[in-house]
Amino acid sequence: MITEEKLIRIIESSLELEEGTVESEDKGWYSLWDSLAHLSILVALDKALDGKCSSISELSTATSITAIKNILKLNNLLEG
Amino acid sequence: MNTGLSIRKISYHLPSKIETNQQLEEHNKGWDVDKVAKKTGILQRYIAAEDETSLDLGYQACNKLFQEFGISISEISGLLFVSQSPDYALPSSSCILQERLQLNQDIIALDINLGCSGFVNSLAVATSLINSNMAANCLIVCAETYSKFIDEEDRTNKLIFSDAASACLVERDYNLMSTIGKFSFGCDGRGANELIVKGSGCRDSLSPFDQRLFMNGPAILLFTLSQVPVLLSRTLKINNLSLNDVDLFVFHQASSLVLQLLAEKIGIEESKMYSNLSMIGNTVSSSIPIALKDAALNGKLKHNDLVLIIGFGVGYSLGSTIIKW
Repeated sequence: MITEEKLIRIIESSLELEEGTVESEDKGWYSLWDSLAHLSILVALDKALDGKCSSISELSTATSITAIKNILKLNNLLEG
Repeated sequence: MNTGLSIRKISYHLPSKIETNQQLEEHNKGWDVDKVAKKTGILQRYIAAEDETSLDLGYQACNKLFQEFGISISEISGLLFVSQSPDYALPSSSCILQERLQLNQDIIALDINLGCSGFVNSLAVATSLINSNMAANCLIVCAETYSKFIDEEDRTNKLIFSDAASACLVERDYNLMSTIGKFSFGCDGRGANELIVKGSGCRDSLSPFDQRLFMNGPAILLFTLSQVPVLLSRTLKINNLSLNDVDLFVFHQASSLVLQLLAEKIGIEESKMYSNLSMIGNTVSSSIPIALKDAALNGKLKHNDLVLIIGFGVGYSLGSTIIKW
């Protein structure tokens, strides 16, 4: 299980963003979330969650933080 | 175990046209080719000419095999042609290839419509044909021209898939040196839409505009990471082997990211995970036979080595076995 903060850091790291960018009001960084970036997010998430992500096929189409959070919560992989 | 069966005779043929990452970057100014190449590990690909088909490539691979190993065409008693880009929906490419190669007319010849798992699954069919004495040997020809399905604007697939053909003779080894182990398989049609050429059959429109390769990379990655380690464990178990018993792992050459993640997840040493992706690309069903041939040529695969092969991808479909080389 990971925290929401850890999830955000994973996304920032995968998109090569500075820490704090995702929580800022400017959402221009979303344009960097292409299919390649999505692969990086999934790989990093799978590592952080000891391989538990690879069996959740819904994550392949979850291309927003809210969508990923909802799926992780449903699968008891996100704290809170 | 299928003791006394060999697949050591393998040849392959690549089209003459090479497309490098640098060329693609020059022709597509907005593409960040290096960024994609860091994930794929692929620096160049082979592309069939406009009038060159999988059958043409397969024919060339067979001729190379016959010449390289001194095989007489009259010896061949089974032919399996593995392709998802055949010349026609009908007739079968295997029948056309029988005539072009002038093979005997009393052979069994079949087309097998599978992608990245095609070689391993065909090897299972060939093994069964030989063991049941329906064929004395079997020629497996894997040939693919995915480039004909890839849109010029597709900045992912254009950087991955390469056209190629391989020819592999499955035959009795009367010295009983070689062995083909027990097979394990996987199939999950829920993934059918994740790697697909719509418009390539009778379900949807047959307009050329619709015949474009679509790949949901993230979905394929998740499928691979969840299913391949499970299949590999099953293959080891049914062959009474452990991971450490295997000398070399030859996986379908999907991308370097996939191979690296699988090696980490399964616990395979880097030196035991074979890859020839950088200069060859992802050749779909030919990737395993081409990798086996290259590994044998450069000394990474030696007589009596145990090599685990595993194919996975479009379908979804998977297959795996162990070979004593």
